[in-house]
Amino acid sequence: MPEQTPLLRVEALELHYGAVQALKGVSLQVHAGEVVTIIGGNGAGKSTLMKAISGLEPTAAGRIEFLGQDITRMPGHLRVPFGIAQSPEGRQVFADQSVHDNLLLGAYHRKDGSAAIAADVEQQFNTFPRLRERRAQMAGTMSGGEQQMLAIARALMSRPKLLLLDEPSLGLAPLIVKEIFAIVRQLKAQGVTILLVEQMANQALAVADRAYVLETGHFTLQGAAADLRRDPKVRAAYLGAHA
Amino acid sequence: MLDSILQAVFSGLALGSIYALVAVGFNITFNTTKTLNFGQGEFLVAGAFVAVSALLLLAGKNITDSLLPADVSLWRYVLSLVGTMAVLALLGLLLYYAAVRPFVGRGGMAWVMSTIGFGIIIQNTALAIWGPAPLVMPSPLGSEVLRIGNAGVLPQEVLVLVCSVAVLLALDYVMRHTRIGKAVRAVAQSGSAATLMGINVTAIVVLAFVISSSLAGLAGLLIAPITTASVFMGMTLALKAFSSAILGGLTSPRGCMLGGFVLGLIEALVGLWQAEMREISIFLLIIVVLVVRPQGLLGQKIVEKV
Amino acid sequence: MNSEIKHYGWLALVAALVAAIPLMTSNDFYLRIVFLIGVNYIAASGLNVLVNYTGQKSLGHAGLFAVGAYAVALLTTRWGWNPWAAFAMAGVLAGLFGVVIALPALRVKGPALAMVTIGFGIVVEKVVSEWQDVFAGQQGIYGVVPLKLGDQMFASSHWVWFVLALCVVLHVMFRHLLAGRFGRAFMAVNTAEVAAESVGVSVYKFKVLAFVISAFTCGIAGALITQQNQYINSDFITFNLSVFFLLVVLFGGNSVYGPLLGAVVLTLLDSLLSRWPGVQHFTYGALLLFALYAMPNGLAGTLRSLARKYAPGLLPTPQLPQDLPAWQLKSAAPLASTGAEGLLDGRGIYKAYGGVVPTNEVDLCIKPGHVHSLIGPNGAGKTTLLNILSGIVVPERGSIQFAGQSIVGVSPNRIARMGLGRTFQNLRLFSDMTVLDNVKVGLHAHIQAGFFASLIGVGKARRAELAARDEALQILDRLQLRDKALHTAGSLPYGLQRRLELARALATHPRLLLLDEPAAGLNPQETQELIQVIARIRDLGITVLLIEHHMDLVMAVSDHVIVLDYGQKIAEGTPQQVQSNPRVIAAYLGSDDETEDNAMNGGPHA
Repeated sequence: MPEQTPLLRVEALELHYGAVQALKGVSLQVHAGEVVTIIGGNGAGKSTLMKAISGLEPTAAGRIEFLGQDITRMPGHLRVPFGIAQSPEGRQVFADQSVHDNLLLGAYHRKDGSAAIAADVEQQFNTFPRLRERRAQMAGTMSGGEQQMLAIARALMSRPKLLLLDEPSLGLAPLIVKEIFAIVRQLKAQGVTILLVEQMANQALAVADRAYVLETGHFTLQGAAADLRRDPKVRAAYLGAHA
Repeated sequence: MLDSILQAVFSGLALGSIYALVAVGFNITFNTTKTLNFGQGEFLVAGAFVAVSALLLLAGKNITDSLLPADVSLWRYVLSLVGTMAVLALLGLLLYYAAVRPFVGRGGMAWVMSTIGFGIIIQNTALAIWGPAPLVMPSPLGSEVLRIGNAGVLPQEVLVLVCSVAVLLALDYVMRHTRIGKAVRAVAQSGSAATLMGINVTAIVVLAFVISSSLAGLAGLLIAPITTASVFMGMTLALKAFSSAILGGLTSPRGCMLGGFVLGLIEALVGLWQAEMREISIFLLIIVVLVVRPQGLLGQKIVEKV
Repeated sequence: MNSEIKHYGWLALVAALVAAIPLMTSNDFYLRIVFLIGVNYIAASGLNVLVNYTGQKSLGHAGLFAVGAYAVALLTTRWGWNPWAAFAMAGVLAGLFGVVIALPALRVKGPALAMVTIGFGIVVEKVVSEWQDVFAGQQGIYGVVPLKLGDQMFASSHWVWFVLALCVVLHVMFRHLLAGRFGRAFMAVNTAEVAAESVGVSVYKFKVLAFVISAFTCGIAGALITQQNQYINSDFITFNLSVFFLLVVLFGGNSVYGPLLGAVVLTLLDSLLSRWPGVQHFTYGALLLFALYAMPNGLAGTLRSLARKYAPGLLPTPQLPQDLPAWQLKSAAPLASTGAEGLLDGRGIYKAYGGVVPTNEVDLCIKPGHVHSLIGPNGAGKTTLLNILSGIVVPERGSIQFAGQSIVGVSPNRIARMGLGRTFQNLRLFSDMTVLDNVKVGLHAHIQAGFFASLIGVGKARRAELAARDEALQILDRLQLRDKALHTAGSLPYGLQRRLELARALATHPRLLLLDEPAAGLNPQETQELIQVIARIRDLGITVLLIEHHMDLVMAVSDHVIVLDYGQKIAEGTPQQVQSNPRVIAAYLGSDDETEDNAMNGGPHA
């Protein structure tokens, strides 16, 4: 198969939080149509990487390329019309605004008119019928799972070329986590390119094509998701080496 | 007796609407940046003086002359209002870049003092240009007292109330129903989440300061005909507006509006009973509010994460 | 010792020069300026503690100046008090009003605090200008009796000498106070309140103390001005005066010498511009902005940085003793009740935030002398539990007994002094203080030096300080940080900063040490070293409870592991037991249909 230009390419990325080096030279690629997952324990640097890709944190060294263009210095709010959208860690829905308004905010940067945006809102309600029921409800009063669906729908409202999902399972009950991952499968079937960061390694590896394992700021393992699922080193990365 | 109460209620509401305007200005910048302009009083004063100067210029006079009632036609008043708000908007821009942006997020409340410093500079510049004498701005609606029942009400008070309420309603509508209003509220919730929507947070913040300063200028222009406006009235007015925000809830726009009207009423009614206690009672009330319910009537408690 | 002698030498020289001024000139104008410099210094010296050291920016100290001024005026004119007694009383009354302003001010933070202080200043201003009967408003109170020597009223030169004497005394006292445990506590409260509480510093108490000190000195300043003028009226008490005081302190900067620099520069500027009041105030505004931009640590801070760069010999470097014995934990008092119960016993601890329940009926038993670990996936409620144990968060239900006493609802600083120390997930060092000082703050509760003893600075207080210094060095030595003792805490590499926080926690002489993710951000080698350190801590007789995600660390160092998930305890036991518990595995990696089937079939699958 010929090598196509990856949609997203990160090269040797480094990032500091004060005295800590949170990312110590991270390189990865995402191709259009793929679902790639980054798994790792807490404090590994997963969310930091997502923030760097979305432009929320400045990087110290390395490169981020999207659609072949260097976006390392591009301000965060300009990356959205460029095609990168994120459902952030902790969901961060706009709690004092309605579900509908949250979705409209997802489409903030779009210039293609209110009719097109309204049509997309309807499409999101079709994917997430629970949100349609609650369209006028204040986002802050919804359950964690509903907020997570809203965060994903809101990100999709910007018609992104790449969807970043930061720990969608965080703080959610196991049954709800199953629902969320079913949604991720559905989006994958629709052809959405996804970069998924997760602590729940099993579910993430079940839905992804390829995976990277992040430990204290650098990747220790990478490969096809199916291979990593069977690899005992993954469990060791979370629960420590066996006695 | 009832008449004087009615009169007090009316002037209290009129004055309160001014506090509401300035308080909402505080709310907009505080929500988006966790800062506010402690020199807002001086902006209010500047608004009054710029308005007077505009009127004088429109009447073909010098800016250090006095205004006569004949000079202030409704049409000119409106023009000077537009001009004043434009000048104050620019001042707000300057304030943001000079006194707020360098100190945001640095912690240590440096922005409190820098905005006070900026305010002092504005005040003394005004003093240098216009001198310490109180400002005379005749009302465009004349000074004939209107009668509501047996209570006497100045037409300017009516204008103040109508204008302020109109602006407040417009702001409320914009914040809740327009794209830009929702963007401002998004920035207030979470700057990073707003960035993820493609919102330019810096531009929104600048807008917040511009709006806040224009509101202060509008307030100054509206209030000038009914108080003895001098270069020195700024601080007390700003403090009362800030008190309104604390009473109603600094983080809630509607709370700030409510707080303004309530404070104006309390001030007028206490003043009716015991004139000297007027201002002392306000500040004592605020200290009580801060101790008993620091988030105000409509505000939300901020929970700090450890 | 040498630097002490040098300091007193300089002090004597400067004092002698100033004292000579009234002998060289009888020009009242110049003498008055010197007098004013002294008065402003006095006001600023106390305000410096509040604003620069403790970080509470007050814009209402004109009100406290007024208390002192009017106290002295009324006491001498209305009630015929002796002027010296009135002078002393003015200070005391102002100090009391300092408590009055502190109480509401400390209930709020940030802009609201500034607001309360401004409000206080305005209320005082209104009261003295409107309450004509008592305070005579703008007319003022005449005939205030000045200080006298026998029957003779002070002349200009006497005022200068008196103020000079006060300045010298205050300077010496503040220098001692701020170099010792009180100064460190003030700075700790400023930098990291939660951390200060965790080492036994009562944040509230110190903030009130700072207010009282600043009120006292401003009150004395007010009394001095009033008695020298023999007159006071409400024109003196304005917001501009509060701004002026604040400016002196900010401009002068963060140091014992700050008020001196600020007072000299600003009083001279004030007199120079007094003919043009408009320009005068304009200059204050401009200076305020300038100071904030260019000299965030004031003139004193700027001079210190310049000295460090170009003339390092000028700055005193303390000599530290070498060859101290190895640190042994002083044995804590025997426990109130031991036996089968644990050192810490928690039953049914419950805490909810709105719809989220991070701590759901958790039972916890910590046995003395063991290392316990608390693990669980992100969001399981581990940090909340630690915050509950250390008193930062109050649980809604449940009981917690520590060393036989209930600690629910007890303030964090009291709990710390009962013997519970902790470190934080996001480092909370006093980053502007030296490494040594950080550990000394940890020793705060164990340094026997009261307030008045600290002001005088000799005898018991001094010995306690030296003992603290030695012990701090011993602790640093144990953790191999001795050579960094005089470095600024914030300048250390991350791994060493974490170790410093540990040192600080050890300095509290804890019975139980709570560590919140001590390995976060450490590289594998540092993590290995940490394992050694924790083992050594246990050998010292300290019980440890740590939260961690690094499983290698947890397995290597723990005697007992507790697992939380969704706020509930789902497993506990030895590391091996927990590691192969399928419920624990599912909690971390997420459920896998495979694993679930195996669990249901009752077969543990490795």
